[in-house]
Amino acid sequence: MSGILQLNMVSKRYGRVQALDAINLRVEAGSRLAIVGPSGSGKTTLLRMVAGFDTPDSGTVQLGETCLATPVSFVPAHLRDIGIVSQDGALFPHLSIAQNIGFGLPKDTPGRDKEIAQLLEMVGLEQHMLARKPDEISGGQQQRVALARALARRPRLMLLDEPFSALDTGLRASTRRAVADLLSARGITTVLVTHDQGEALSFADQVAVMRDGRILQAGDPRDLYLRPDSPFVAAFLGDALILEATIRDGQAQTRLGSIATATATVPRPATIVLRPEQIVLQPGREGGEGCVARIAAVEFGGAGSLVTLELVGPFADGGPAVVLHRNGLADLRVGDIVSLSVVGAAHVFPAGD
Amino acid sequence: MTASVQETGHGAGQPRFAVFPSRRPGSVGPGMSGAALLVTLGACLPIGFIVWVAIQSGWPLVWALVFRPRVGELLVNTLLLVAFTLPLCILFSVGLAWITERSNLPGARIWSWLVVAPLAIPAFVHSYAWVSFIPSLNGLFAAVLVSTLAYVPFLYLPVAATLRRLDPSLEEAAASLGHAPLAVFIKVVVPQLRLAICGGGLLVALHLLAEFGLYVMVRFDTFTTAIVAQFQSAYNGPAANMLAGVLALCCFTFLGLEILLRGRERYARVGSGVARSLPAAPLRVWTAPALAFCAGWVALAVGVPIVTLFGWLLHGGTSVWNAGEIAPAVFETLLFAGVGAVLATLSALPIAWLSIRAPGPVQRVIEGLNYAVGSLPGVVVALSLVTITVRIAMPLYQTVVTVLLAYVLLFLPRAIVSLRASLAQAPVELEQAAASLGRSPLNALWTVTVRLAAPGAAAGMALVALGIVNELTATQMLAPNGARTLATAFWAHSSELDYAAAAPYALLMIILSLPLTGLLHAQTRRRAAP
Repeated sequence: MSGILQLNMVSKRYGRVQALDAINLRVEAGSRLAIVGPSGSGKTTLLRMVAGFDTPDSGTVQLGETCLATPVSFVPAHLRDIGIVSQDGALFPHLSIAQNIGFGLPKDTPGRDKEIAQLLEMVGLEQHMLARKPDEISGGQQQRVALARALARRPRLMLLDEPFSALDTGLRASTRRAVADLLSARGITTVLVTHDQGEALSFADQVAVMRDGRILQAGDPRDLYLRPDSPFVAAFLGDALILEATIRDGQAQTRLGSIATATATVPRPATIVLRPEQIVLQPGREGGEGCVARIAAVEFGGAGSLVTLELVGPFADGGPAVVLHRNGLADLRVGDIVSLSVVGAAHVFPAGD
Repeated sequence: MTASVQETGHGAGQPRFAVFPSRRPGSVGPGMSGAALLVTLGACLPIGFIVWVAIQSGWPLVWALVFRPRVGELLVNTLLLVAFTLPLCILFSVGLAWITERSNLPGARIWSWLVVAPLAIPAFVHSYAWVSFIPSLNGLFAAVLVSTLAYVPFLYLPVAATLRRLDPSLEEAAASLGHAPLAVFIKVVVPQLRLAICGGGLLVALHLLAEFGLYVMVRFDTFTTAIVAQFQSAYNGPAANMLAGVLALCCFTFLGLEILLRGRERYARVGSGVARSLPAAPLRVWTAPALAFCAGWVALAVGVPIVTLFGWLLHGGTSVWNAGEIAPAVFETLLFAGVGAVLATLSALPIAWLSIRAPGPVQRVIEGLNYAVGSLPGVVVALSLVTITVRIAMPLYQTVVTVLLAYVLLFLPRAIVSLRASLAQAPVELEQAAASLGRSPLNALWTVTVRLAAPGAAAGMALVALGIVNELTATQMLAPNGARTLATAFWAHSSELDYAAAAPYALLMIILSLPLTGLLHAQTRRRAAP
């Protein structure tokens, strides 16, 4: 039975590095949480505290009714009933696939062999693989076996530590979908750690962004993407055009012109964020109402292109170039003049950010 | 010889071409392959000698000499020695390695050095210390006790290195699957130690077969002691030769067993990325017992030899420090060790080169033959060289040349292993890159490969020198009359029960071996770093 995972004021220090700094987190039973953040932000340390591979200096970790770690007590990893799938699967190289999957099942479990076969089938692998050794199957297959192995014990919580990062792009998407479906079907509470924001947004019901051992913001993926609390969260969760502005009459006055805002009305200096899909480029001066720019560079990257724009005419302010991601099929050439217009409202960061 | 056509580029109008003899950067020329073959043929001399003597003696004599009660006794003794010592060595080495590498034992690094320290003490000095400490010590029990104390480092080093580089995520995965720490150790850690235990175990077994001085001191007969006794009483008669043949068969049996036990399993890390290092396991209430275990071990394996040695030195006073005797022994030991190490390394070069630059079936056979020959005890190699020089090269009998040849044959595998590892540090692509930047093939070889491989080769040479400093059996049988190394001088005095006079030689051997032992330990740690 899955349970609610709660972390209260969990801190951990390694020498001079504060790996976790008063973390508070709650993951509802049966839901999927993704923790994202740059390298060294503390996300894997957090996962290890929950798994029982490390002890917090202070704070408590609780799963359902069970206190896993407090300042005076600690439940060791093998008694936690928490499954984990790591970056490289961590399959035992000296055991066959069948032995790997059955590693956590007691030998006298009724129908043990049948269950192993069912688990293999459930993760989309064929029965003839049971006798193989881990180095005889591909990386994606290894990850699936690792998942089957972790599922065999019917854990109350599943921890996924960047399990898809070693896979190539195509395999990553299909494996991720398969894993998400499987976990949903079994109703297992899941925590995914990743540095890939796309993966986090598509996989989870809730996303938490970490930096320097702290959770900066946590919530619904769409909410975090559209209404980030800080420029860091905005930039980390996707391409973002961050602009300095002055709020006046519900409008943000920026170097790109006046842009509507969703919430801010009180006049004040502010920082706003626009997502690339909010900005429309039209050839020539006459198409848009907004500012005019010259294309200074185009870096073609297949599905998308990175376009660098220099503001011209009355908008030329000597400030930094504006860099946007565009559809790779858009016919944009260096030297072209384009006009920029904004669709929808800009998000204004809370005062102080 | 191959030739390349290069445009000289300085003609007016029409391009001019010049023909240069060339060596492709990183290639293996016929010279190198020929040298490797030659060294291997030379290394096969002892095996050839055993077969030759058996054929010459005729089957009835061979049968009579091999299938007799005395050989049965020796075989039982040798097998009992291995059967008791090897499991004890495995048990203690795995225990000590886990405590020093994986637990939070206070001063773990220092304990690790102390556990390896017995390597600096020759096995026969260990038994000298124990026998003079407890004079009644003899027989199988004494042999097992002293062998275990002397040879545990051979297993400790590979086991500790493997423990240090094990992927922690495997143990964490096992714990997350509900296995308690002891079950994780047995089901996940121990299987991954199998290769290290097999390799280290083979090394211990071969030393048990080859050691002479240790077992003479504790009055325990093995094949090696019996062969030397036969040799001393009846020169190189057929009896000694046949015993050598049985001993060689024992060695090859252990080699085969090791290959069989090692199996074809793959224990390397599956998946990509770099393994983390595992946090040290907290000993908590077990800290004091673990410290007591380590301290007890070091007291027996290092304390007893050192205390006894200094006891004899104090007892002997200044009179045992006879410079007229000791200085030549030190000089000859260093000379033999230095020249022997250079010759062994040079002989190993073509084989190691072939192994890295042109691996294939022929190279594997060549390398395998050299390892097989290297497993032969010093007494077998020495006996074969005595027979060969007496029968077909009398002027070389009991000369420095024969001693050095024996050292090359005995320590060739050690040199090959070190050289191969250091040559692997200089992949052929680097040499090719240097050539593409305008360096001639020889210049590229010198400035890239030689520079990169030199530190490893030097370390390998030092390890061969360490072996030669402590070598007793072959040196005693082959050295020219009047020649005395530290080992033979020590043996001469201790055989006459003049333990005080033997003490300075033992101390000097230990002092010479200490830095090399340290080097070996540091090298193993570095290679095993996760």
